[in-house]
Amino acid sequence: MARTAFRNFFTKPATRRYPFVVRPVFEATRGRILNDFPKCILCSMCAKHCPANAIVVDKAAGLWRIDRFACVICGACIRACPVKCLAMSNERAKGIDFSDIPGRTHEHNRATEPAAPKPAAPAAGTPNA
Amino acid sequence: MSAHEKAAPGPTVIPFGPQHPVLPEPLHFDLVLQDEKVIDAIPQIGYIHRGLELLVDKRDYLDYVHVAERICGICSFMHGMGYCEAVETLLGITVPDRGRWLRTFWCELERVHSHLLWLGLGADSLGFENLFMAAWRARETVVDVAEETAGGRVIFGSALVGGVSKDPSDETLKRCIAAMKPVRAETLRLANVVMNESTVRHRFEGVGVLSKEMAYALGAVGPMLRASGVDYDVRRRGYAAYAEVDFETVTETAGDCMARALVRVREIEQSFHIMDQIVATMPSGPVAVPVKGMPPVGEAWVRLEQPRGEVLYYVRSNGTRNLERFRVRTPTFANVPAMVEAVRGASLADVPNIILTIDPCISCTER
Repeated sequence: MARTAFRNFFTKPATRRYPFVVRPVFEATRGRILNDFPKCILCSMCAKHCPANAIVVDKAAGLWRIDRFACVICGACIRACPVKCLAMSNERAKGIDFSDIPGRTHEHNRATEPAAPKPAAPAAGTPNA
Repeated sequence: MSAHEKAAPGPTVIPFGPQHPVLPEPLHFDLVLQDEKVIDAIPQIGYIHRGLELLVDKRDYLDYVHVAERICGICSFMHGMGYCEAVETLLGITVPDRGRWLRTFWCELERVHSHLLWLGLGADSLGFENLFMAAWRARETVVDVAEETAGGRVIFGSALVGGVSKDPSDETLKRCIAAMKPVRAETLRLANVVMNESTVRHRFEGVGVLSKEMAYALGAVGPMLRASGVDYDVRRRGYAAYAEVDFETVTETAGDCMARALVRVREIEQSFHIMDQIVATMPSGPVAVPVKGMPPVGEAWVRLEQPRGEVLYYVRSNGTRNLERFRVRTPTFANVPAMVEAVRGASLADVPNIILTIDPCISCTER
């Protein structure tokens, strides 16, 4: 152990200089859930299977909402989705802007994002929280 | 009795925990002391009960695996997998070979990460901060490998009824094994420190001795039992792919804190040995079979070997999508009577060491 202590004088730190050096994410990392909303049929299967009750779906109002703080990123919603509009991104959700508290949830609304015409249009990536 | 006369000193009761510097999780002991010697210890648990077992009748049986995984942060994959194995037994499902091999890989990865975490915490309990940092630095690579292969550093999230949900390529697995080479070398170096460093030996040798007979009689499990000289490892049952790999059951005979530390340190090497074989013989094919329909009426139970010892999962189904009962008997719960026995007779200053060498996981115990 004395050797270790001596060696530590000449070696680089074991930690990264975060936030200047950020470890790249792995391909398999479970980062956050994305919804390709035009494809979504608002069936609420994702909400039903969510173990954390993070997803709220209101078909009448055309709303799909996920609470990023409640979400445990297990991927149960992705497996439950019948139209495969949900996907896992390996990028984690960005820090929450507390000047805008509702920012912890991310909402898709039919009023601003109409459903894709049939047959389904090419996936229009939706900006995310 | 006048104020000048002193009463004969009787036993003193010192509360230990639930908040204590050496305890990562809340566990309470009433230590009955005669002078500096512990003559009895009365354990009390129940500070972080979350009622996860009850959730099983509110959740779809296929989704509950995500809840089961969150029973514990250290053996998360094994909790998920244990639940899956129990449900698979109930449904009569056979997991494809590649799924079984990957499960074994992740189980052993978890064992390495748990034992390195324990080594850090154990070193911390005796104030050996240098060893603590070294063990946790080595562990960092292991949790990175977990993230690269399974998707999560702590909650692997890859267990699934019928198999596993992630399928890392053979190249990824080989790269991971190569990336863990330095961890292996570092573990051997740290094992040498544990065995030969005088500060560790002073605090661990001959402390908290649990005899072979007592360990067996009190139902101790895992490294606690093996450190007392009982050759018992549930992996020998051959679940997942353990029947196809060659490994040694690590046992020690002294039954003291040092023996328990050495069992864990040597098990890390065995885990790497198993992971090597798993990656070398990884079969190709599907990783999971689709699971449809309701589970049949009935019950099933399985046993696994977690880093802390034998764990038992029991499920009972009433034929609906929600199981009727789910029960986990965790290794720490089984080890509590043995822990009380090991603490008895020790001096007060040794109590933190002894409790830490059981590797208590209170979140598991209380679920």
